[in-house]
Parts: sequence; structure tokens; C-alpha cells
Amino acid sequence: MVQIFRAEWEKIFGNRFMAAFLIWIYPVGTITMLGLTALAVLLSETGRTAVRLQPPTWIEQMMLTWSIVNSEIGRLFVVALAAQVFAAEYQHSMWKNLLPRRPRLHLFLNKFVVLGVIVLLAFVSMSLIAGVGSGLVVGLAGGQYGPAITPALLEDVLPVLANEALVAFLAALVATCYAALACVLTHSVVMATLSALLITVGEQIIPVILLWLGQLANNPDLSRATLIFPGYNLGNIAAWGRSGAGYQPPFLHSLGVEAPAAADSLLVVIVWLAILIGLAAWHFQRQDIAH
Amino acid sequence: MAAVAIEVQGIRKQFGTGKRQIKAVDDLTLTVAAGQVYGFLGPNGAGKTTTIRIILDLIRPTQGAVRLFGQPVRQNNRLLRRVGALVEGATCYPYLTGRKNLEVLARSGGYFEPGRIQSLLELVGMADRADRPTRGYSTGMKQRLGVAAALLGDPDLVILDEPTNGLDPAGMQDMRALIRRLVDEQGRTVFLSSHMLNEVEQICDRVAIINRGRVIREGDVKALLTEKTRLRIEAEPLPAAMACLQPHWTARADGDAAFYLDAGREQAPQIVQRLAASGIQVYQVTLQRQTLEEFFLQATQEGA
Repeated sequence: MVQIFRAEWEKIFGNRFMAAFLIWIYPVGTITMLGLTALAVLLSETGRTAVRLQPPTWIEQMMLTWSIVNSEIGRLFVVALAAQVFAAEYQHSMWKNLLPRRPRLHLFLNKFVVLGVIVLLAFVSMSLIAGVGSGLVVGLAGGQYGPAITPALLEDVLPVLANEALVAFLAALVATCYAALACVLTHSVVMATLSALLITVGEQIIPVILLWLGQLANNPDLSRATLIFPGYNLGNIAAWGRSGAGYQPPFLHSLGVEAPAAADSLLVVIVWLAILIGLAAWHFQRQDIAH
Repeated sequence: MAAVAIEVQGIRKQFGTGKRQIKAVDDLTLTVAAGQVYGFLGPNGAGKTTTIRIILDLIRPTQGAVRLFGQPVRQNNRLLRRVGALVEGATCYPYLTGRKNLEVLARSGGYFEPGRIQSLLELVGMADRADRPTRGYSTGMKQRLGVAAALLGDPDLVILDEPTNGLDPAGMQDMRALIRRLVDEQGRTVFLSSHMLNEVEQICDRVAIINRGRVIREGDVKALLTEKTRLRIEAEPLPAAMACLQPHWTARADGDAAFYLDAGREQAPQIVQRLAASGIQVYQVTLQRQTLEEFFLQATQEGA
């Protein structure tokens, strides 16, 4: 399994253009932003004063990065990366060379594993760089960077950060699944990226559609179906981690629907992942490689 | 090793549905014994590549089955690891070097050995160009790399689809020698699909000719080519000589001094006697066998 993992890893990082824009952008982008901020602090007294008077905390900085990767823009990069990785074999007609060497399922699932590891490493490195780098910027401005790390503080903060990381990772995996499924169906990087993005963004408006359908059908309970979609459940897991309470948008509140427990939402997301990966793998397993 | 490398039993493959349905392979059956070079010929669109893809389990046949070394190939990856293939033109990751492409394929198969990759690169004459990105490779260079990729897993069966495409004459000669060596010295089986009939005639032990998805002729190359022979006769006067023999054999003029007669070696004495009895001067009688190209054209035209 190490060999097959390394093969995929080398393919991904061997495509330097793709790696630069879709993987290295996380740590390098963060370093660049910090560099620009440092430059502003060094060159401008106003900047130094602003940072000195209101210095960011490392907790805020580390949390901020997870919010960025969890946003639609952040997910765009994950979707594009996944589409590239899955569609590359079609694009370069490489499946015909690979499939006689390994079972289809191994090769296909290996892509999810490698992508998962890469995305996780990229996100974690981005968060760590932001946490440490912001300290350097605050130091340059002559401010105090805190709060001081104590066992008690870590006990409070680490679960919150871990929860954010989990949500970002799961969201990235869901987006990867959409891209993989779209690739297997369309064999095209562009089509897969567009379709996966449409689904990812489209999922955000599902509550609105359900609300509208509920009004049309005079059945407001239709909105309860929101609870089964990954988007809501990821938001719910994030809300439990941040505030200790579930995510309850007004339309659910008006129906008297309680937010599910974080564990239940996690289960829903895992089921979604299993279904999406299973569907993509099943289709790929039956597919004729005719080109 | 099993005596039979490939058994294809009544495979059919249809693409599309309704009016847009295309029958790419139609009840194709063939058997390839191990330890030989087996030629697989057919005009464009005859179904050669589809058959190869079915043998490699890349395409599921609509009907029929394929066995390799006596075992069914369908979803049998352990069996497929005994096969190396170059299918429908070599492809590679353009952003990786030739060596890296081979490394990635070897790792994907779980048989990565740097020493083997280097020796294969030398074998196909690519060692000095292996560290350049393949996006700059010519078709011939990609073909060489494709053949090296096919041999990565030390396969018992090598399937080569047009391996000499894009190669220069020296490269073609090297490739022909390599293919023979794979069989004669290393005991592998080579299933070779090619349009280069001269090449097939030189290196194949047996051939199958397919047309419209069916095998129309199959057999030992030498036997097939001696199935139909002809005599070239130089005689004078030519019109009289042809008129003397035409009631019994088909004759076609070859220039002003000779003609071809559809007849075999055993009929030569009788022919010479007839000509001599008619007072015709016979200068030379030579037995000619068909070339594979002539045989192929005749077989595919009959099949059509």
C-alpha cells in the first residue's frame, strides 16, 4: 500500500503547476499574507500602532484559517485539486496502463486517501504558519502576542481547533467525492470542477429550496429534510464545537426542530461519504476504459 | 507455464444502443499458445483494439469470456499482473520524466526496482533521454517508453498494439529483434497487433486476421502463405504460351516476357511439358509464394 500511495503522491506533486496552485497555495499563500502584513508593519507607524493596540491572538489566527478553508472559496481549491487528480487518468489516457497492474478499487480509493492526507497536511500547515507567523508580526510591531499557552488553556482550545479541523476535513472530503463522481461520469477536469462546484454551492441553497417547496405544497415540514444533507450537518458539528449548542436556523426553530447532537450529525456525514464514494467506485468498477 | 496463454471464446461487444449501436467485436474466438509471437491483423475498425482491451479487462464484453493461462480474466488482477501491454499508442504523464513515468507505473503495480527501470530504459534505447519530461518526446520515444512500461512487471504475456508506430527504420528493426528475443530467449508470449504486414511476416509464428469483429483466417504464418502459390514463367512467344495454358490454369501477364500462373510446385513439370510440346521456348520457371500483404488483402476482400 505504501508503493501505491507513493505513486499517487509523486503524480500529484510531479504536476508542479497543479501542486503550486492547488496545494502549496495554502502554506505559501499564508506566508505571503504574513509577509505583506509584516512589510506594512515595518513600513507604517499606523500599522504598527494598530497591531500594538489590538494584537490578534494565536487562537483567532488559527481559527481564522479553518474558516477560510471551510468557505466556498476555500473549497473551490479542494474541488479543483480533486477534479485534476481523478480526471488526470482520463485526460492522459492512463487508466489503460494502470488498471492491469492493480484492482480498480485499490487505485480509485487510493486517490481519496492521498487527497485526504494532502488536504489535511495543507490545512494544518496553514493553521500552524498563521498561528506562529502572526506572533512574529505582532513582535515586529512591539505588541504582546497571547494568550500565554497553559495546560488549562490548551485543554479548552485544542478540542475547538480539532473540531474545526474535523469539519474542514470532512467538508473537503465531501467536495472531493462530488468531484470524483463528476470525473467518473464526465471524464473531464473542467466539467468535473464545474459540476462539483455547482453541487457544493447548490447544497447551501437547499434549505431555501425546501422552504419554498414547503410553502408551495403547504407543507412546512418539508424543511425538516434539511437535516439529512451534509451541508447542514457540517454546520451543526461546527456550531457544537464553537458554542456548545447545535445549529438551529430560524426556519427549523419555527418548526420546533431541535438541532441534532454532534455525534448524530457526524454519522450523517459519514453515511453521505460512504454513499458518495461507493457510488463513484461502483460506477468506475463497471466502466469501459475505451480511450 | 500453461500451454495456452490466451483463450478468447465467442466474445461480442456492442457500443451504443438502437440505431447508434456499433458491433465492434462479433463472436470472436481465438487461442494463442504460450511461447510464440502471435500476430493479430485486421483493417482499421476491424475490432483489434477492442479485443485487446477486452483481453486486458479494460472493457467488459457484451457476451463471451476471456481466459489467460487457463483462468478467467474478469476482475482477476493477480492474473493480469502476468500481462504487460502497450495499447493503442503509448501514453504517459506529460509533466513527468520518462523515468518517473516508469517509476509511478512500477509503484502502482507494487514492483518498483530502480535497477530494473534503468535496464529497461537501456533495453529500449531511452536511457540517455529518460530524465526529460515526456511532453517533449516524439511519438517514437513515447512508443519505446510504452514498451518499457509493458515489460516493467516481468510479464509472461506481452500485448503490443502497433509497437513500431512512429519509430524510424533502425528503431523498427530493434523492436522486431526485441520482440523475437522476448520469445526465443526469455520464453514469453507476445500478442502483436500491427499494420506493418512485412513486420508481422518476419517475426510472427502464427497470425489471426480479423474483419468486422470476426476472425476470418487463422494459422501458422508459413502454412498460410504457402497455401496459395503461383509460378512465374518466362517463355517465348508469350501470347502463345499463355493461350496454351489458360484452358487449365489462370494466367496473368507480367510485362512482355513473363506471366504468372496460379499453380503449385507439383504442377511445374506438366506445365513445362505442355509448353515444350507446343514448341514454346521456356527460359525460366520460378515458384512464388504469396506475401502476407497479398494474403491479407485477399482474405479481407473475401471477408467483405
